[in-house]
Amino acid sequence: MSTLNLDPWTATLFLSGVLALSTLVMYLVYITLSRKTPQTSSEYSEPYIGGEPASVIKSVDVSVRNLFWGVVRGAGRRLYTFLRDQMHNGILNDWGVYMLSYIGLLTLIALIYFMR
Amino acid sequence: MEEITLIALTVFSTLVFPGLLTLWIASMLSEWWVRKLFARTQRRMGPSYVGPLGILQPFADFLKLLLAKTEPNYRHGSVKLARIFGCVGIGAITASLLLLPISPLRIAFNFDVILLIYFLGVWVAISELLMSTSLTNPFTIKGVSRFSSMLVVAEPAFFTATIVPVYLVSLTTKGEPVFSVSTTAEFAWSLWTNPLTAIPMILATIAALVSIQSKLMFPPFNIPEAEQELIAGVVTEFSGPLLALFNFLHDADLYVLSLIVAVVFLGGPYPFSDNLVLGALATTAKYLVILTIITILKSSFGRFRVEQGVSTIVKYGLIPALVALALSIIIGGLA
Repeated sequence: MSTLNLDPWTATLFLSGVLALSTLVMYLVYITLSRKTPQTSSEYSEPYIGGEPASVIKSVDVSVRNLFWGVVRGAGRRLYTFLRDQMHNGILNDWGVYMLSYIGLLTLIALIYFMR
Repeated sequence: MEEITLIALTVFSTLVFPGLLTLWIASMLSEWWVRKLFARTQRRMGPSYVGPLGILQPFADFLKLLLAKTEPNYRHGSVKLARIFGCVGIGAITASLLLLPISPLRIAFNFDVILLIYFLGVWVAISELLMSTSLTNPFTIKGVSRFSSMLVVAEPAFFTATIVPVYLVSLTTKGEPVFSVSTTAEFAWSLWTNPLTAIPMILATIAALVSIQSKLMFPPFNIPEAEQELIAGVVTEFSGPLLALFNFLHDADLYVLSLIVAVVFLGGPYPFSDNLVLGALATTAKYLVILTIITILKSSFGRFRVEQGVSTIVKYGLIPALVALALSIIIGGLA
């Protein structure tokens, strides 16, 4: 067993090389072993929508925006609801109060930092 | 001559042990352990026909998908891209294995834990997500969205938990290099014998187990692949060799995450660090205990909704990990 004591830069490059080598070997093994006969059935070229034809959905390609909002709503539903209902309620005065409090907080932090 | 030995050792470590070949065998055996135990908790037989006690069933499943089935000829995506990302994910897991003390060629330097986080936290997760989105389908995108939602919390929880033993070992021992995975594995056992450091270690281990459960999409965090609701979620469009590749990536993730807990949290070969055979047996025993706990958790819960899943990871993963880290910093200040 031998230990390589490398500097962080060289170690990162070295392990990235290991990643590249193992990826290449895995890819070659996959290509060599997987069956070559192309899939001719049209069943496998269409999206699987629970047995329904693809025409039942508006679009097969879902936009990145949908994915983003899916993650935001999933990971922080409470935060999202708070931002939507409290911060972004369409009332200009509320927005003004929010912005002033935020800028006020930043000013307070800056004052504390510089007067230390 | 030394350079040739180093190159040979690098190639051996990458391709044979603990690299690709060992990774494949260990991943398949881990899948068998989980499937068998999970089936027994439900009074089913589990894998039984291929090999003694069905131990070769995952190998047979993998080879059948790879050799006998064909790749989908999918119009709405890129099969080649899915293939590449599957291989990159496995490559990233192989690279991270070289940071663990089980490798004949061990990479160690100050703060090498950051590289472990980089390879396992960034590359593996991104590969899984991009492999799924390469074959687009509304169900796949919904599954990916749910999986990403949980990863947003599970990844920080797991790696915060991993930093706890690394930080404590660096502060309480004189092991070199500091903040290193190898040094942590060598001294982690000492953290369990000290009542002061045992508390953050217990919290960090719980946090790591909960986040592993969610990173692997095991119940109760199996909402991304929610059978019957999303067809198969992230794997809806995978079949044949691509499904084999995704399953291998998933099993390899299970193997390496459980191994990290066994080695970095529980000290790997301790108390037989001086004896190679007994040390390997001790590491294997700890690994199997971790795998068993994961399987018991998997069989004990029903599926959570996505927001329930996220709040559970926050409650039992992220918060314990942050508390453990805060306690570690306080202990570090006292030491």
